[in-house]
Amino acid sequence: MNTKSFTCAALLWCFVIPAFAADTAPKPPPTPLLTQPADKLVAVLQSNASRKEKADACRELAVIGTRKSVPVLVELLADEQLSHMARYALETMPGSRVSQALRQQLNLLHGRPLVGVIGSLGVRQDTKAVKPLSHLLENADPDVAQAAARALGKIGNAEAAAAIQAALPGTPPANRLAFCEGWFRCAEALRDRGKAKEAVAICNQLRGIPGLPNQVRAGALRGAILYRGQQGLALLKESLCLEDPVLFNAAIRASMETPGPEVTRILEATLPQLRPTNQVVALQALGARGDTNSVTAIYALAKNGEPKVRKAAVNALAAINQPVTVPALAELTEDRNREISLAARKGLAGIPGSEADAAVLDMVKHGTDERRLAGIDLTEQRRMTAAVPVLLTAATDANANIRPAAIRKLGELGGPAELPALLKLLAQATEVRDLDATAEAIGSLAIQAGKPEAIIAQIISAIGGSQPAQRKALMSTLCALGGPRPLASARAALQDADSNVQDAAVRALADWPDVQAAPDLLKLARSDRELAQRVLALRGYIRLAREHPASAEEQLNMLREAAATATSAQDKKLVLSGLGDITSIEALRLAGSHLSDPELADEAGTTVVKITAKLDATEKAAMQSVLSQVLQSCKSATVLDKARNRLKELGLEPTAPTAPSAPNDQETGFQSLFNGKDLSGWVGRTNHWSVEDGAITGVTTKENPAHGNNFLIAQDGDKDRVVGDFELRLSFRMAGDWGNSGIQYRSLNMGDCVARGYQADMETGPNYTGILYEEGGRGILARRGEKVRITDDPAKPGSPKLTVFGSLGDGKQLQEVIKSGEWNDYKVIARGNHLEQYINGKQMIEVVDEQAGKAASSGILALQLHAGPPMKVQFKDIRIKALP
Amino acid sequence: MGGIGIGGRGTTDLNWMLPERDVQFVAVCDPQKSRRAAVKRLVDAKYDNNDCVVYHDIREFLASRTDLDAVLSATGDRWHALAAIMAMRAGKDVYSEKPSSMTIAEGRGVLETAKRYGRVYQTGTQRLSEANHVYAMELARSGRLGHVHTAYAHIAPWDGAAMRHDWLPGEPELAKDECDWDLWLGPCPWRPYNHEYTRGGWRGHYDFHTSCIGEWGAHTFAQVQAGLGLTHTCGVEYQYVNNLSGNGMTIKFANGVKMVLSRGDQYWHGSCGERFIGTEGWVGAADGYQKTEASSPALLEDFDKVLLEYRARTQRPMNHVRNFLDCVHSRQLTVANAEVMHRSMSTVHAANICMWLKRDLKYDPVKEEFIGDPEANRLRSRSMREPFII
Repeated sequence: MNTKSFTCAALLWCFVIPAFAADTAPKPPPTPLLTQPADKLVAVLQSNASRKEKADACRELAVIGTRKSVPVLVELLADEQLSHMARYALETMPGSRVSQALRQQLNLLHGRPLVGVIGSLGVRQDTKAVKPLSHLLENADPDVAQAAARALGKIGNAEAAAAIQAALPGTPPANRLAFCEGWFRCAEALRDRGKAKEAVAICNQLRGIPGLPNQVRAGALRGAILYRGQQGLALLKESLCLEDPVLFNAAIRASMETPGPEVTRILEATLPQLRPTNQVVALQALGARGDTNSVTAIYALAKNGEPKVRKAAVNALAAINQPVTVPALAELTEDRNREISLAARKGLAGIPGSEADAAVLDMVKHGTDERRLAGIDLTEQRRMTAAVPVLLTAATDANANIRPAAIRKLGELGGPAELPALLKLLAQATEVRDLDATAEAIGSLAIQAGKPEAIIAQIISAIGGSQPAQRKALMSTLCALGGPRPLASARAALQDADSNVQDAAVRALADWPDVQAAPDLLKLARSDRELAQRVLALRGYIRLAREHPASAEEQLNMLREAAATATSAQDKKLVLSGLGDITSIEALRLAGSHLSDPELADEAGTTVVKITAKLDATEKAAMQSVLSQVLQSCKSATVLDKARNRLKELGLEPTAPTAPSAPNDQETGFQSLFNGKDLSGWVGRTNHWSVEDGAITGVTTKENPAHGNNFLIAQDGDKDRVVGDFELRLSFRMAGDWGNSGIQYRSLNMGDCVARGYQADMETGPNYTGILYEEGGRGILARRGEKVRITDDPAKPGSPKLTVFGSLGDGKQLQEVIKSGEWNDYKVIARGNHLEQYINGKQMIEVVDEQAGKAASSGILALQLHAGPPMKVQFKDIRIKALP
Repeated sequence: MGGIGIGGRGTTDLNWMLPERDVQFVAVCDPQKSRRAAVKRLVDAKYDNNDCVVYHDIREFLASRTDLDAVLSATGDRWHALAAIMAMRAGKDVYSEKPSSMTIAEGRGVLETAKRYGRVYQTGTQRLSEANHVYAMELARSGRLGHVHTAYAHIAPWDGAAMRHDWLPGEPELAKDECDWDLWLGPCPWRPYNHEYTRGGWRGHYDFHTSCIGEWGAHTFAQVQAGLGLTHTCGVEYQYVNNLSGNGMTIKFANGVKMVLSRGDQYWHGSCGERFIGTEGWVGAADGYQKTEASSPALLEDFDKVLLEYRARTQRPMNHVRNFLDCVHSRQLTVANAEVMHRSMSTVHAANICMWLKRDLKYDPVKEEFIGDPEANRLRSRSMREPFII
């Protein structure tokens, strides 16, 4: 959302304003509010000046007019063109003469001008107008009668109230709301003047009139409670127990306007008697009052209420936000109902103070794995640096699930003082999970401390004295740190006696955060090491060339070296993507030199088009030649179109016959959602999403982890794109050891780049790619190969019942069409409540969602980045077609 | 729900609301035919039916649709308060675009109507529900900056505080069904029709807009006052600055804390920013920030923790529309409720009046009047054009 607002503001600032200025005649300059003395303004009104000039004079007289201007203005009240502006001047002018003059007009005017004068007398709170206004309550013109009732309300004395009371029964139904409004205003004004009794009487009379609209009934009860003061509490108590939702809600609102413990006690006392929906509302009101004495009453419902009441009670405890709620919340974190235990954890996370800290430490120490892991998470959420000793103990726990979690938090919460302990943990670790967690924690700790030399020295010297497994783990720490000394250490590890350490060193260098590793990587890529290491090194080198260019020239040189080193088409394509970033004839020629390779032609063509789009027209000859080659060599219709267009823009003809463009019937009617260049049309957390290799790329790293699952949301103009029935096609690729992503469709934007709803899932592992998952909702809805019908579970209303009604094949066999680490084509078809997902042409799932209240028929479209270990996902060729 | 006056910004709001599962959008009201038709198309496409009913007159719309629980109002600024008051009087809860009022008196009217009928009201000052801003406000509010003595509020960097009083050249009015000019003007002084007004060209005109101060101040003053814990009051001293925009104006609150208006990028790099300065450091946010910014990294360490505390204490989601819808169910006060908005907009209006009268002003937030300045007091309200009178 932040990004979106920024984009809107930036657009407004950069484009709309100048464009507006350019399109239209220059704006007249703003003028001061006051331009002339009052007597000159009066002279304008008396002259034959234009309507505009007279209106302006009135606007100024509203501020500076004196009694001398009154006669001239009053004369204009009957002038249809200037009546309002005359009032505009008079309404704010002090003095009884003004009121008197306006009153006299009540007998003379009709229709709109009369309505206006009535309104002005109300604004002026002219008590002498009560009598004439009272007569107007019976006026046949409903606008007049209604204006009179509201104006009488603004004056708001007993006489005005009596007039409305007398006229209300006989007034036509259309006037009733305005009359009630006037009467309410009288009650408020009387109360403000210390006449509470009269105010209560009005509200009670309103309560007694049958058939009034709900908002009037609510207002009357509110007034009857509030204006009584102390005596109103009994009525409040009685009203809270009413079944009528209008009156119950009005009573709740009245309670909100009455601070203090007495009302709190009343809310607590009535809680048990309320029906569940009202209990939920009353609990929210109690939570907002923040009275620590409410804990007992709320806790009772947190234990014994209906499920939704229990959750509201837990949230109310959280809202009270005081240490006294900690025991209750801590107990509820272990509730068997998962929704309750999660709400309690969330509540506990947000209670300030040492009591909550102690409860969290207890969670870390005792209980089930889930409880302990939740406690460990809470130490970080609450930033409990005091938890370090407990975490250190947990770091050597017998339980293999607890250890890595605790170790990671030590990296977040610990300081330099914890480094020796972490290095010791590393030395003692035997399991890979512990080793990785400890290496990661050491890196986090050093980075948070600002990477001081002393700490880096300790880490590097630890490598020297440690076993191969430890050395291997520490390679990722070096990579997280970056900088010259860790680089030297990683370089040295390339010669390590242990081949696993060597391999880890290559990986560390390939992921290196700064350009200093580039020469090492190029050397590695050209070495006689095993192929996998050389490929890693080359890709790391290309990445550095793209991410950290010192200059365009340096970037070009690096990519030239990479092109000379690359052997596979895939790596050459990476080079070509990189070349697209550079605006130079040399880059154009280098890209053009790959056009002759049929495997690379389209990629090279894309790059050529991209470069020529940025190149200055003075380079026409070179561009003509290379673009003509594109027309001969490329197959992609998009590339061919773009090349032709660019030639046309430059006023050039192709230098050789062009290849016919290949028609592609299947693709008609699709709209592209991604321009291949930047994230136009998408909004997400910019620290994770970018365009790499001509693909939308989502990346998390150790230094830049995802704080919760988050999403890149498709836009339509300046708002979220909403999809209903559609067919979506795209290609995706996931790299690395771990990764989880997905295509969110017909979903909800929860704000802060978080989405909920249907997700066409994908991951690096073997289980979830192709399945239908509901993010933030019902979870897995269909596994690979399943045809599923979803209905409401009669046994558990609100929960889904998944019925598998057919098969699309064996899930494991379907997995085989998915190419790990390579581009795969995803297709999603959503029509009505029928959803289908395909990968590489093979159908993966089919779902009929018939669960009322849960099935979504439309919503936003977004791409997922999953929280967790570092990951990378890429999307390209994203196109969509609305289905009829 | 129903909609009133939904154009560009309103469509963004509408698209934010439509996917919410508790929202069923059934009707739209607009004096401009093309706009009501566009909203109907969008809504009908969402529900795959032809059921969204269109109205041209707000009075008929509110009187006949007693079935609506809530309305989204995104008219031009001149109609915001009046539409909200009319809708709440008709028993609807209201999500209204900013600014919530054109004058101090209008803001008071919105507040009293919401209380009178027990209605839920939210202004679309969505930064009050965005994590970066909430963190800045919480840091200021909780004393972690020490004593906060100064805050900076961003005002729009285009146009000035002085307003246009010219009329665009008159054009023949369109048929009432196409564009009802009388309704479009609503409570504002009459002027001849010109199509530019109806497509956003009303901005900058005194009758229709609240100047560069109100354009962003409607957001940023609320952000500042929320962070200072001053949403129940408004500025008491306004120091006139002799420039076109109000840039650098100092506004004092009763507790001595100062708010300084700033138009450039001295205190932020993004739009609608605020910054709080305390004895122990500063914190600030603006649109486009990856994260709230502060004088030292230590002040940002507790980002997640502070937001967890805020969400637990207030039970408010970091989603402005969701906060409104939650309150429609719970009847609780929204984060940008009528009081918060009346008070922060009172500061906006008083700052404008200070610039227009070109002199320092003092204001009494309890009596809601300027002290010793009758002319300023005469600018607290503007006569509304009949029959659009509250």
